[in-house]
Amino acid sequence: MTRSAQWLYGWLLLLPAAVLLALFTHYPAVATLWHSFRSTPRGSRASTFVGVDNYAQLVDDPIFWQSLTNNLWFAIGTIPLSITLALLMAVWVNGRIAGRGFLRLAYFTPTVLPMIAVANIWLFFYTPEYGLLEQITGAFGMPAHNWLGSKNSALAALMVVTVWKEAGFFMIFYLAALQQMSPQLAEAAAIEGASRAYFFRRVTLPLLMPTTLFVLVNAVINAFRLVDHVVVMTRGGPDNATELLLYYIYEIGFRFWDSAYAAALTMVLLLLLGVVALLQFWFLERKVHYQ
Amino acid sequence: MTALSLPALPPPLRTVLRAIVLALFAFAIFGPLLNLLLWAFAERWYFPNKLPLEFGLTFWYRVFQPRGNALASLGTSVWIAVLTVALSLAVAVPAGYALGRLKLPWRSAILLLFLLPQAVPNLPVYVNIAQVFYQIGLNGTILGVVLVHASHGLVLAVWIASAAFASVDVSLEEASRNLGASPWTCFRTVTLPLAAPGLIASAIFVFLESLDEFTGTYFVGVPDVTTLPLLMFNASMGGNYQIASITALLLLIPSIGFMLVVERFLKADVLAMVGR
Repeated sequence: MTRSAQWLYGWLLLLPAAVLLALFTHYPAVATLWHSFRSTPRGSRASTFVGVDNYAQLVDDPIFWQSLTNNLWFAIGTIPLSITLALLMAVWVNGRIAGRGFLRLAYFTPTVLPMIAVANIWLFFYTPEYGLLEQITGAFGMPAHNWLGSKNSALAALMVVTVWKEAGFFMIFYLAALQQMSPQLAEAAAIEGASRAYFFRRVTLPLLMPTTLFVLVNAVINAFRLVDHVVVMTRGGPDNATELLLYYIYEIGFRFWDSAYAAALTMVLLLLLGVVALLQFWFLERKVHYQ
Repeated sequence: MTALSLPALPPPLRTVLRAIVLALFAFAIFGPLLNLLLWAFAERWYFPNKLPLEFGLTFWYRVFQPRGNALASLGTSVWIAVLTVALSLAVAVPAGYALGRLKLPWRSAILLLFLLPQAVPNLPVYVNIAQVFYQIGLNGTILGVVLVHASHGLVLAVWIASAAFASVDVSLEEASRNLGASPWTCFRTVTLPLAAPGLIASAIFVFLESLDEFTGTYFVGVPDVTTLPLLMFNASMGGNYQIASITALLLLIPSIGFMLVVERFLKADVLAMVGR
C-alpha cells in the first residue's frame, strides 16, 4: 500500500466516528462559545450580540466566585487522595496476599456503580439520626451531626463520595501498569540491597509516571465535570456550600433559564480545564519516562 | 510487595494494625452498600428507630408487578445500551484501527480531537443537543438517547480500540500477508481476533456507560424515555427510598456481572497502552 493510499484509507476509516463526534460534541461546544456573546432570547425579544456583557456580569457574581472556590477545594480534596489511595490499593492487591480476588472485587464495586446510584447510597448512609454512619459514630459516643445539612461538612461529605467512587477506577490502571513491570527489576534491586521503600520511590514510582499522568488528567477533569452527586445529595446547599461550577451552570441554565449567562460560565469552565491540562502536560512531560 | 507491611513493628502489633486497616477499608467500601440493602428490604422505617421496624418484600412485589414501570424501564435501558454498543463499535473499530495501526499525518492532533470530548463537561453539550433535537423531533425518542449515549461512549471505545490494535504484534500480520492472505482476510483472521479482548472490553464499558448514564437521558429523553437511572432519580426525589434502593440494586447486578467479565477480557497489556 502506498503512503497516500494508506492516508486515504485512514481518513475514510476515521470519517464515521469523526462525523458523529463533530455533530454531537464538537459542534455543541462551539455553539456555546457563540451563545456566550449573545443575549438570552426572551419571549418576543430575539437574541442579540452583546459582546462581553455576559462575562462582565460574571465578575460581579458572588455565587460564581463561591462555586469556583468550592470547586478548587473539591479538586484539592479529592485528586491527591484518590490517586494515593488508588496507588496503595494497586500495590497491595498486586502482591500475594490471602483473599486477593475478593479484595479486587471490593475495590471495583464502587467504580462500576453509576454515579447516580452512588449518590443515592451515600444519601442513605449520611441520613441524619438514623443513617448507618450516624448510628456508628453514635455508638462510639460522638455527637450527632448532619453531614450533608451543615455548612462546614457538606462539601467534605461530597468529597468522600467522589474518592470512594474514583479510587477503584484509577486503581485498575495502576494495577495494569504494575503487572507490566518486569519482576527482574525487583530482583536486581534486592540483590543490590535496596530497601523496598527505596525501590518503590526510585524505580516503581518513576516507571508509573505515564499512568499517573493519565490518571491525574482524568481526576482533574472529573473534579470539574461530575455533577450527579450534587443534584441528588445537596442541590448546591446548604447556603451554597456545595455549589460546584457545573451545578451552578445547570441552575443558571435550567432553573433561571438564562442560557447566555450559562454559556459564558461554561466557557470559563472550559478555559479553566484547558489551562489545567496544559499546565499538567508542561510540568509533567519532563518527569514522565516512557519505558 | 505490600506497602502496608511495617517492618519496624513487632509481628503481633503488625497483624493487629493490618486487621484494623482492612476492617476500615471494608467498612468504607461496604458500609454504604449495607445501608442500601437495609432500605431495599425495609417495610417501615422512620426516625428514631435504629433499624427498620419491619422487613419484607412488599416493595419488591410492587417493583416487579406486571404493571410496574421498573421492568419497562429495565427493558428500555437494556435496549438503548445494546443499540449504543452496536453504533459505537461500528464506528469505533475502524477509527481505532486507523489510529492504532496506520501511520497517519497529524495522528496526535486527531487523537486529541477524539479525546477532547472527554474533557468537555457533558452538561452544556447536552443542553445544546437537546435544543437541536427538539427542533428536529428527536427529543424524547430512543434514537435521540442512543445518539447521545453513542457519541459519549464512542470516545472511550475509540481509545480502547486503538490501544487494542496497537498492542497486536505487526509481525503476525506481516507473516499472514507473506503467506498470501488478502488484507481483508488478514484483518478478519489475524488482527481482529487478537484485538478482540480489548474490543469486547470496550463494548462492555460502553454498555455500562449507557446503562448508567443519567444526565444526557435526563435532558434528551424526558419525559417519554424512562431508563432505570431516571426511574431511580424520580423515586429518590419523591422520597420513595425503598423503590430507589431496589432500582439501585437492579443497576448493580449488570455492573458487577460485567465487571467479572471485564477482568477476564481486559488484559493488562491493553490497559497499559491506554493514554500512550
